Amino acid sequence: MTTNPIIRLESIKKVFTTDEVETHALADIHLEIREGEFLSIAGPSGCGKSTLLAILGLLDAPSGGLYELSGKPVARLNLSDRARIRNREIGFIFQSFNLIGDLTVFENVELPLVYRGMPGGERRTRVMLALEEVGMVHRANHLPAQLSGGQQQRVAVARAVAGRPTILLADEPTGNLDSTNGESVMELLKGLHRRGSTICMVTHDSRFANFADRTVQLFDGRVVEERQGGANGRPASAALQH
Amino acid sequence: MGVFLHDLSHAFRGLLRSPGFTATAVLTLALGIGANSAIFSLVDRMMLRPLPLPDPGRLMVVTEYSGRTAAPRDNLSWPDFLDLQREATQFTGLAALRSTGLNLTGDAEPEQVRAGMVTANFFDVLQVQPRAGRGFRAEEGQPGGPRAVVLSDRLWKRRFGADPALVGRTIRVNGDDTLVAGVLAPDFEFPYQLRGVDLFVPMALTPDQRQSRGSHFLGGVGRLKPGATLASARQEVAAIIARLEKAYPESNTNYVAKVVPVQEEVLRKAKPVLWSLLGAVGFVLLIACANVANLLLARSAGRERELAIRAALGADRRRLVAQLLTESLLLGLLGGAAGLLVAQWAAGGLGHILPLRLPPGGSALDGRVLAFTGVLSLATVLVFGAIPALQASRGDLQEGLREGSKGSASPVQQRLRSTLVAVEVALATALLVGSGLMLRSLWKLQHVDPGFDANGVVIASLDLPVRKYPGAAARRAFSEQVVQRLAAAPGVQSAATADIVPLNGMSTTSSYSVEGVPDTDRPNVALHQDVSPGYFRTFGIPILQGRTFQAEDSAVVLVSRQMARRHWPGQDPVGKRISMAGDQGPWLTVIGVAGDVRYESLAEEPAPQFYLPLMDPAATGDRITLLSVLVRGAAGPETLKPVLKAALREADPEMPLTRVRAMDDLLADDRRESRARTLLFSVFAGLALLLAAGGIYGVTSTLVAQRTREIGIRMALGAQVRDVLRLVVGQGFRTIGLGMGAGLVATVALGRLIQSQLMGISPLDPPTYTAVFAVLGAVALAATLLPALRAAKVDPAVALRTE
Repeated sequence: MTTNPIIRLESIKKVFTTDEVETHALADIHLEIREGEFLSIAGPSGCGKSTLLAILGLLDAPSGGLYELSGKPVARLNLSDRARIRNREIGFIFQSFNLIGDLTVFENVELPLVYRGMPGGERRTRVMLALEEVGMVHRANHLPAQLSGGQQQRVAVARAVAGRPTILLADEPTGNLDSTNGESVMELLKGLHRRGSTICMVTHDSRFANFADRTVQLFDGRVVEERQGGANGRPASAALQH
Repeated sequence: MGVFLHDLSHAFRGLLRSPGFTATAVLTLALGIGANSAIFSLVDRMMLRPLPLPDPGRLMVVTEYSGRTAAPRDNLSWPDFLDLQREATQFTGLAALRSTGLNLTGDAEPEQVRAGMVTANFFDVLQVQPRAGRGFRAEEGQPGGPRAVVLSDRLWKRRFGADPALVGRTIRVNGDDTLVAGVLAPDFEFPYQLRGVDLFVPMALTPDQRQSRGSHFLGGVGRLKPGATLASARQEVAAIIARLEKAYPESNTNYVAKVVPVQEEVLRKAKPVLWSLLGAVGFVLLIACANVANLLLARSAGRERELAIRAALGADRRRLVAQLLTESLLLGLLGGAAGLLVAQWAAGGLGHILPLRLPPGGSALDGRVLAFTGVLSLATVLVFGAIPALQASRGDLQEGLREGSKGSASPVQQRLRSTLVAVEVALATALLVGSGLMLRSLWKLQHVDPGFDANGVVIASLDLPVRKYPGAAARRAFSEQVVQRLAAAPGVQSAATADIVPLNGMSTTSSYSVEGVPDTDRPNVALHQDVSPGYFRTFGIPILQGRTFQAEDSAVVLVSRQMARRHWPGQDPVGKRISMAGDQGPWLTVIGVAGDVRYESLAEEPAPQFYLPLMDPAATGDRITLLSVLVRGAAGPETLKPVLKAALREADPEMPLTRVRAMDDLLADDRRESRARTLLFSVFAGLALLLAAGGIYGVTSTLVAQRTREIGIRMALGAQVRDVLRLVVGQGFRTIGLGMGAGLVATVALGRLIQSQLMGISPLDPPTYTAVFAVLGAVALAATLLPALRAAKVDPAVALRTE
């Protein structure tokens, strides 16, 4: 594992305001994710895991603090720049797969490359490689509805890696799968990690958190614990506990 | 390009997968775009294309009209025309013209054709050369000069079999051998007073017509000289007309100059009709756009998740908007293509429905209409596609990506959809009121009293050839002979003759002086007709005071009630005197007062009018060559027509009998335009109502679907069916009420625009507004009640589980 931080968060906070009521979803988050690292974010429902992942994935902007991706500040980018970075630097894997039902497996995987403006020939090569990586080449012309949950998540993984992003963000990737399929998808992520991918995964399943090199535990919007080697590893250093 | 093709392919498949949505949207757009393209094809052919004449923008109608007549009639008298021609310097030439009917005899069946009598320089002023032969020579326009004729391409082909050797030969026109000087090109058409004319002859006037400055019956046309402008021409002609007024006060008092481009003049009446129709179909298109935008909003609410996924994968807002607009573009193109089919079908019918005289040549849907439809389709896409695209691309990414995201409309989207429905209702209200006003107007027109009884009257329009009937005495003898024959014919109640009759497209106005009243103080122009003694009886026009004409009458006049009121209010007009030759006489004594007649159109209030004995040497005398023969009988027009024709044939076997018509047909013709306009407006208003009802239904249905759980809770808490109905219908009617209110304001503002097309009612006619609100309210109630009834059937237990 290298030591270059791909992601650096400093004093990140997120406040939602509705009807003059402020809800502090995240408070004073400090976090670094290094290249090639497999990080797991754990915590109970409502602790801010998904909010943190949304900020990491530039789906949402923090209310305060510093966010650097590949050494560049990205917390205050406009919507268009954020979309461009999402497309080039981030690969998403969602709990509910989030494949587009009208598109075939091939087209779903191709979509981020289309948005990137990649030439057709190169797109095709990349898509086939990604599908091969997840073992779904034979289903390239199927529609998502024709696949099982596990297969759909494999396609989602292929879509996430096809653009060779800087980091993969996985939000409860096994949450909608049975245990066999869940393990299969986790093996897939583990394989990607072994081949050098940086992964940040939100999960509340301690079995799968153990796949990670490091686990960050959130509670009430704060990092309360950090362990090396998954959810059962050692506690986070005092410096990371704010 | 790759991204666009990707979007296009996806859009195409998406539309295929939603056939119901696609069919509804494409049909809605097709109706809106098709109606617009069809009306545009009319507007384009009539208004936007220049006349098919060289440099048509510099061709001017040059004439004069009495500034004091109720409905200005603009015609020149011959002496005034000659003065204008001599004095005007801003034109390369001035020509005079009038339409007439001429009899063609010879080898084929006698027929009367529509003809233009023009000064010899007419074709030079127009800068038109016949395709074969030549125009007229100066000597052909002189009294007693050689006879010549120029034929239209239509007549040359129809009657003479396109004989290439016809030019230079003679044909029989009004009984005279006449040289065929030329044949015009197929596309030649001069629409000012001479539209549809098949034969041109040099101006031939009776001595009386040449001398009478008060008899206005000639159109004038001139071509601006290089360097001259409309303003300079107007200034000059105004100065000449003003000088003539001073020089000839007995005939020219109150006459005003008029110089307008020919194209503007010929469209004077059609323009408001075409604009209002274009406005009406524009409203229909806007309603269609609002409906499709509503459909797209409902669809995009269901696609919130897909759009969020695309955004998460790197599509920025511009890309998402572009994708959604690509889908709209595809819909717009499909709608445009289907619209062209609608337009093709509709444009063919429009030409027949609307009694507009379309210029010749060219199909209804040509490249210009195609281009218009293309641009309209794209503009439509922007209108109906942009709002949903901008709205949908603004969604909350996290919410959209979340598991169980419901895909229902946000409150903002719901408000937007309600606003669109309110706009639809407002536009539909305006159209319905417009259509309602026209319906009421048409009803009034159907029931207006024309001032005569057309039922059972048949008319033949003749042109008495001057050579065969050289003087007033000969023409009068012919007239008396025909009346006598008819009076003796079986089934005939009465018969009469007149120079012209009401609603037949011709009128004569004359200036006159009233004895004892200085000309400058009183209006002195009125319609006039020459009629035989039986005219009032035959036409059923009441004699209100005094008596009608008798055979031996001379130097007498009958005036209409309007004219009597104008000059002798509260007095007995019988015995008063007027003169058509200035305030020194000779005088014509009023012998009676006739009821008012709507002369030029049923929609126009009766104008002051006076009647003279037919061909009375003391008055119009020698001037009359046109003759209308009228016959009344109880047996009906179809029985009377052969009787009339037989009498005319006995009197003159060479007389063409092609223009024999029932007076009821002339009335129907006069109402035709109003009926057609009303029909079209009603169709568009019906379409608008249908689309608006669809919009109301759609939004209310969505609202009910989204509030199923809420309705379930309310019912679980004890709400009755009527409470649920009240809730849903009440909410729907808030939107509808807003739309109707806005429509009311718009209609009041727009009322003036259609005022010129209404007859006998105000643009704020309360019964029309009441009826429109009742109809719209009933339709809106039905459209909201159906979803409301569905809501009332909600099972609380099921509804509470739907979350």
